[in-house]
Amino acid sequence: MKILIVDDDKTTRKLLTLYLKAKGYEVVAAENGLEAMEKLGTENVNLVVSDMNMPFMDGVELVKNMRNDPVLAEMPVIMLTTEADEDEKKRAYEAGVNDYLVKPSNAEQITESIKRIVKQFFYKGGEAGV
Amino acid sequence: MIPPLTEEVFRQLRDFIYEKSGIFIPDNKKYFLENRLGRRVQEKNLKSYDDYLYILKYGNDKPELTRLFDMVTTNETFFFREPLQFELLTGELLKRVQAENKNLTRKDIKIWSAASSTGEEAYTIAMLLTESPEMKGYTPDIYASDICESVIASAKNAVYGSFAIRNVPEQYLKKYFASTDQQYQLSPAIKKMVKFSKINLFDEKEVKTIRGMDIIFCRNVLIYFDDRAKQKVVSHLYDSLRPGGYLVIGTSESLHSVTRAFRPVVINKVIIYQKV
Amino acid sequence: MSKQIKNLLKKLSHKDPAIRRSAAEDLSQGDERAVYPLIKALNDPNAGVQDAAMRSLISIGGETTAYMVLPLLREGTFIRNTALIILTSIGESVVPLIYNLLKDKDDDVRKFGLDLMSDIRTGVDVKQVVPMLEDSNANVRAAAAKAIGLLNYTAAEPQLIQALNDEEWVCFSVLEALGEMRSEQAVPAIGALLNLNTSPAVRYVAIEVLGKIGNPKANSFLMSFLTYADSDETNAVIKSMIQIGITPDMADLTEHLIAMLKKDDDEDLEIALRGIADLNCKTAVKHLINLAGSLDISILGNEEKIHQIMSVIKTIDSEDELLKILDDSEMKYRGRSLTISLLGELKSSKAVPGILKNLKDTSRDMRRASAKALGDIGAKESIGSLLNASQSDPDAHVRKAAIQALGNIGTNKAFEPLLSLIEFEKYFDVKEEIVRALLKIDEKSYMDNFFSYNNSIKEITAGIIKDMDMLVRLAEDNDESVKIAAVKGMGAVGGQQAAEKLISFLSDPNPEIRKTAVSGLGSAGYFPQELMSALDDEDQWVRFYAVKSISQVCDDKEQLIYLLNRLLADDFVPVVMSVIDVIRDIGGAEAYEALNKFADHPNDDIKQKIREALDTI
Repeated sequence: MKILIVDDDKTTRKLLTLYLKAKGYEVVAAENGLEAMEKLGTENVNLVVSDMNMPFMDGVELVKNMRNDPVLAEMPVIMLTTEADEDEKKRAYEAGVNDYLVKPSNAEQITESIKRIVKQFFYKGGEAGV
Repeated sequence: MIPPLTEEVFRQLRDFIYEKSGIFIPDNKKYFLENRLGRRVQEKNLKSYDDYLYILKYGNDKPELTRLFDMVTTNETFFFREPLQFELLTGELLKRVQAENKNLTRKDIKIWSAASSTGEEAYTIAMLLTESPEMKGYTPDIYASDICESVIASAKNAVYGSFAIRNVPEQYLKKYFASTDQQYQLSPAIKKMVKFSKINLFDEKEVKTIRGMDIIFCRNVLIYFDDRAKQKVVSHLYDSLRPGGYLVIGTSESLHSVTRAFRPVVINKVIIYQKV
Repeated sequence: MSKQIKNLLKKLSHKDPAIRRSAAEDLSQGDERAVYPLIKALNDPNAGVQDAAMRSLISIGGETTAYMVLPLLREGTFIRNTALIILTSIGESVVPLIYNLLKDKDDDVRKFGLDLMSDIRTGVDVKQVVPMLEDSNANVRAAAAKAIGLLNYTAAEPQLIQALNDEEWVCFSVLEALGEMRSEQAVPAIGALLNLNTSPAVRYVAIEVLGKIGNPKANSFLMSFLTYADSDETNAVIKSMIQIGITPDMADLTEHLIAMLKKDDDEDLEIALRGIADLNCKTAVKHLINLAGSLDISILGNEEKIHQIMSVIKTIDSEDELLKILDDSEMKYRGRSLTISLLGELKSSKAVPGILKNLKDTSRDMRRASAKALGDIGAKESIGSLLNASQSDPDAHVRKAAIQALGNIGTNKAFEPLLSLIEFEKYFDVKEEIVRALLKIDEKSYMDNFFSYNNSIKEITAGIIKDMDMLVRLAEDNDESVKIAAVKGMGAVGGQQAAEKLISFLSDPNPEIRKTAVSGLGSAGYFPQELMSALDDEDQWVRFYAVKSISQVCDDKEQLIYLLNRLLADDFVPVVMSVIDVIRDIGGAEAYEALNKFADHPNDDIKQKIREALDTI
């Protein structure tokens, strides 16, 4: 399964990449929402883990754009961000994220979330592309 | 023998080139600049790079300036370079442009090759549009420009060597080129289709002369600019496009840390940008 | 300006987005009054307008803009992220305002403050960041570590080392910071992390950071960990050990290094090359040639890479391997041509038969490289083939290389053929090469027949030779280009005799010759009276070089100012500019006064330069 990590911080991208690769996932990375959209078009991504705060196109706008795109509308998105605010959380869910995690999160927590979402897809009878 | 290029003069030359054209020469290319300019300094019977800088700055020598830009950018281009992008042009992109212009009852397709160098890209577009059945009832309106006048002259001449035509499909070669002794002359019908002009993309006034484009090709030239210059150039290109117009850049380049005024659009794994 | 700004502000609410965007762009020239409207325009429904507003705010910059943009950090996602871009771009004037953010009760605002410090870097008082290592929020602590690392605040090393005990997320950033700072102090603490109880992510970065720091103390930790390392970690350990500079004797190290060559990573390549050089790894040569041969030179940066690879091959004992490659019919042509060049540089006589075969290759680059290599080696058995190439190869570059090679070999057999060749060769630079080669082979015979040669040959020769008598004769030639070349040559040779001749050329009717003579006197170091009259020459470039030469040769600084200052009124700008340079460099009260007289020069560029010069004196 291929996961797209979106975060403007190089260290975070590195850490998340190490986490996910160690758990057996294929990983590609982008540094903001615009680059994420490029990667979503050129790579066969199955799931997105995105930060909220990024320049040029943030996480919320990215998800909104994905939900408006017929090809990407159903792709699972986990928001992984420093924002612990309840309002922020609400905004993210309204935009269409599937799960919301607050940094710092370790490898276990992130992969738990991924597994949960993938299971949901199976129940729905939809394609998770695993 | 002229004395070597010192750090100080290199920096001054670099700043001057940047100021005039947005092209940024990184530190590790000092040797490259020294090489390129060294020959020129000797040709002009000057004693040093210092003196050459003086001519550039105060000699009011426009031809020398454009010659300088030519020396500083590498022109390794050929016909049908990065074919996937051209496939996109005659396929999906053309369809979209035609659909978008339907309301305006426009029957022309305006395309600008913004770093056309010796013309290969612009002429490739011209040939493709001539061959394309989708173009029935439509007129191609093709513009091409470069910062350097001598390459434009070359482009207008349209005579090419074997490197330039290495990727041209057999049927195009037969139909549009006349070959004599390893030289290939482009057909007059295609030559006529492209309008050339000298434009420095860094100069707002010069870019303003091109307006209302449907598609702009600006491939493999943004790599010469640093972030600030890139933003400026991209902003100028934005203004030259009609709303919803498309920008095609090199496959190894990206706008994602330059501007949000363009939205990436991915078609058949090829990334192009649309003016939002 | 006021009316203009009012106008633009109105246009910011126009219904046409193109007009709003244009207004937003033009407001970049505005002052503080434009800031608030531009901030509002960040929320425009059109992305082009948003973009222009952002760039204009950056352009206006300054503390006031920073002050007004700062509160946006509490707004919605899009606005706060745009605010961060603006603040980062504005740079140093933002810094004084950030310290308050560090005390904010909102975790994210404190983190933003630290992120800004990491991005702006200049003018930051890092002391104030150190306490943030103890912040209640882990993301803030991680950001603090990052900032300390990027700002290289070594005084905080002990606190950072202490922070290695923090939770994983923070520890990760701390490790990177210690790596940034190349903290040797931290090596034992980082080394201690190399055990199976640490999380794999932290272990991996710890291995990398030990390599980055580069201190040999790390080797014991790295070596003992090797027994437990998985394949990725093993790779990382090897890389780090190579970076530190000691190569372990592992039997399969070579394979690892060759594998690193094949990955498309610049950093891996550099490290692998270093390791291969350290190990004198002959088996890697073929892979190196393959790699160098596969790189497309039209891509930026590849020329550099090829050069690095070639350097490494030269440090290895590679002749035998290269000879094998030369005979390998499967080697692709670029790789083959690089192999030939290397064998030439190594002066491998064993390679000559193989290279001779390639002298007839269909590719011109191959023939060229072969010719050059044969010259480098000095192979007498290749003379016949080289002569052939110099006469009949269709490509000028190849002919030139063959001729140069013959010159390098120094064989008399080539003399007559090359002499006859000059008449037929059409390219200037190839002709030049022939002359060079002839001079190398037998200068006397060449010069004996000199005056039977045509003008272009004489001109070329004049540019190369050092013989004063010859140059004097050439300077009397009827052809102007020959004369100029001879005069130039005299300047290069220097000496009393040359100087005397050059003085006589100061009054030549041709300005190019006068200019060359003036220049030559400067190089030769002579300052005759006559040179001063060149300052009043009617040709602007002669005057220009007169200024340069006189300033080179005149020891008396005061006299120099006296001589040159009237030229500040010259109407050729480069002349004035170079005089300003000279006077400014002399400095002192006299210089100041001389320049000050022209402080209000009508030409803006000159005025500016004078003002700048006055400031430095």
